[in-house]
Amino acid sequence: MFRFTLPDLGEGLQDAEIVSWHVAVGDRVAVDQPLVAMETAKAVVEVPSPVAGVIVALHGQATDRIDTGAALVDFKLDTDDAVDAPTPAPATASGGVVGHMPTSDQEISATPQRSSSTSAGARSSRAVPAARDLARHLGIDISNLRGSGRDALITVEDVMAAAALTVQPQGSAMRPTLPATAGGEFDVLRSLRRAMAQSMSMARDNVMECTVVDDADIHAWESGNDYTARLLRAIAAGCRAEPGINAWYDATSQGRRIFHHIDVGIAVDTPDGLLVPVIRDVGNRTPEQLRIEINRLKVGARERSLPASDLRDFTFMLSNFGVMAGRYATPVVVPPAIAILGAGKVSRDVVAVGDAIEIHRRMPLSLTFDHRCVTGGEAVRLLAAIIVDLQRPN
Amino acid sequence: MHSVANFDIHYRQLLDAAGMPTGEWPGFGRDPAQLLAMYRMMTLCRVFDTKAINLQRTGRLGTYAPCTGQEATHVGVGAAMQADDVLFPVYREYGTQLWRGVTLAGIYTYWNGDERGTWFDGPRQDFPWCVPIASQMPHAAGAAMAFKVRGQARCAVAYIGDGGTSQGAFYEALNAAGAQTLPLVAVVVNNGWAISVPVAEQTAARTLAQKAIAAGIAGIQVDGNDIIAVRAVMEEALARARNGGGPTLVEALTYRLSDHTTADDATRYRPAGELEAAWQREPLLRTRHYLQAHGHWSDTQEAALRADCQAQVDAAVSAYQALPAASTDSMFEHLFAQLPHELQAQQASARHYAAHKG
Repeated sequence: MFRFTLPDLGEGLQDAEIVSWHVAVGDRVAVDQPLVAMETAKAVVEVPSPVAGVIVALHGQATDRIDTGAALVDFKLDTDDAVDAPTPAPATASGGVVGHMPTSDQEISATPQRSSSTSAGARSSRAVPAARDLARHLGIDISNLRGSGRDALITVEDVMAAAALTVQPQGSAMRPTLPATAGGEFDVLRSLRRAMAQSMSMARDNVMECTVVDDADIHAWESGNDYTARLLRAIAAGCRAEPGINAWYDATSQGRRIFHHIDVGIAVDTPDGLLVPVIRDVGNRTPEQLRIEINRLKVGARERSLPASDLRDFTFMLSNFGVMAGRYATPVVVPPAIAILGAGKVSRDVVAVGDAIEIHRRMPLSLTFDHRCVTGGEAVRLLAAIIVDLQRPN
Repeated sequence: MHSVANFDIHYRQLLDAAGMPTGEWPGFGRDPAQLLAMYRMMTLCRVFDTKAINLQRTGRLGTYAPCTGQEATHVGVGAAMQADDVLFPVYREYGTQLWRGVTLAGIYTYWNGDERGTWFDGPRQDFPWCVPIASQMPHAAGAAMAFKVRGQARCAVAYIGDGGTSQGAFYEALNAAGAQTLPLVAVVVNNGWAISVPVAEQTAARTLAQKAIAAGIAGIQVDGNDIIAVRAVMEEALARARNGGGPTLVEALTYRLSDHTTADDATRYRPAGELEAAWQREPLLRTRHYLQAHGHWSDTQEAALRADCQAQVDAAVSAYQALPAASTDSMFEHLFAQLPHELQAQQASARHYAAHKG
């Protein structure tokens, strides 16, 4: 029998995920015949057969992650073709080339490898150099990490997880990094929640968030005003005062793409997680039209029936979170948009009117902006224009 | 106001994608034996390349930079050079190297991380593969200067990729070669992509050949999938350089039909359809069409050639895999005439661990 172990499919990769098998147990395969498609952190690659023979066992199925060096396929060799078998030890050579990935398969041991400690609390501190380097940069003590790699080797992903960077290679499964002894029930993030985790991580890693808060005095409101429609109209008024905030920021080309139409994404809380349907061109719609559109999107969001086209490309965001509780917040700007307005719970406040004390209804507002491309001055002028519009009677 | 200088960039093609001649062919083009020799070498490159990728995918080769699609440029350049010229490759011009006597096993040895692969069996004076971008260009200009100083009728031929033409070293070398009329021929292999950066994003220049203009040297664009035109343009450029006529910049327009390296996945950035369209222009097929249409080649000969190439490649695989591992000392060799103290200490340490661990 010949066992084919997963080679390093890139440069210093520690594992790869099975995408699909092209062969089955019992199949006779020729040298270089494609066996399996494997996905690494960088590529989907076809892995051919190193030998001619009959497949005896396939180690793993689609979506399984196989460590470099672990068994992949067992063959029964054709006796007269056995001479084609490669040397059992996989070559680990790696010519450095352009596009090189700064990770390595080389293990560095910080502690004696044959540690006598086998208690449940024993922690490995063997790490690949890139993981060690990253940990140093992030100020993470790797002796506290539990390695998920081969023989508990600490990988770059382990360090990132520890740093709560939650960077997930495409198509990979979420990996719990808590000790197995943590107890409780592990709730895998799915669909909307997973998308939320990713977009929030992206926002945190990219956006320089700055939040400014104030109140709109809505004492003068006539009856029948529609909160969300008024907020949308106020955002439109704000964006007319500061057009540069109705925009996307492109960090790569260091520019912002300023839009004439104001497309506001509204955060909608659903049992499955956060959805952000988009109301298009709010600056050119009547309150009635806005209300019809708000209703359509809210129903669609709860039923999960909205097409993808209703859920993308907002140029400004609104979080009307104060329905239940909460006055101020630090809403999160989701790139490439650069600002979000949060509206908190309306309450009756004691306010000074001239030299008298009155009780007015006030709406707390929190505006977060991306300070990479929005100045504080722009942000407060936008907020001021929003407040002026909100304070109108109708 | 009046114009003080005008420039043109010419494009040469002699064999189109359908295998039809499109211009006046030079002497070698009328010699079937020469055409077949080049076709055989291009085919060997293709078979060698396919096997190399499979070897990497099965753990028997390190990262590898494939050449599929660029064989006409590589073999055409090799066929135009003289034996005592000096080649400065990048890292995928196997067709030129094989033509000049580098062995298949040697190339596999290098890509398996063993520097003994650069100990070329044939052209000892040729430079090794150059993974950093454009650093070979000043080396090549320097070699060309040596030929000029010595009064030798030899040329330096330097490869560079489309991405490499954005590097300062590229311009510096061209400028020096132009200013001093050096016998240098720079071959820009424009395969469309610098890893994931397309040429259109690499430069605002309409051609890469026009980068010769600022250096005051000859610049020409050639169909890099047309081995007749590549060799013709190279023979002219080399003859000019050899006769004191100065350097030339040749831009060969080809296409990387593979990933950048085995660590790359071009499907992640290359637009759909582009690859399929490029396969219609690839070099082997058009050459074979021409040869078969003119009665120089047959399907039977093609099958025999493929089998022969496969046998050569299989023998090379066996040869490099049978090579004993390099000694621990080898990593300290060939860099210094006198090993510095720090490296002497490291060498002693390496020997110690090698002896204890094996």
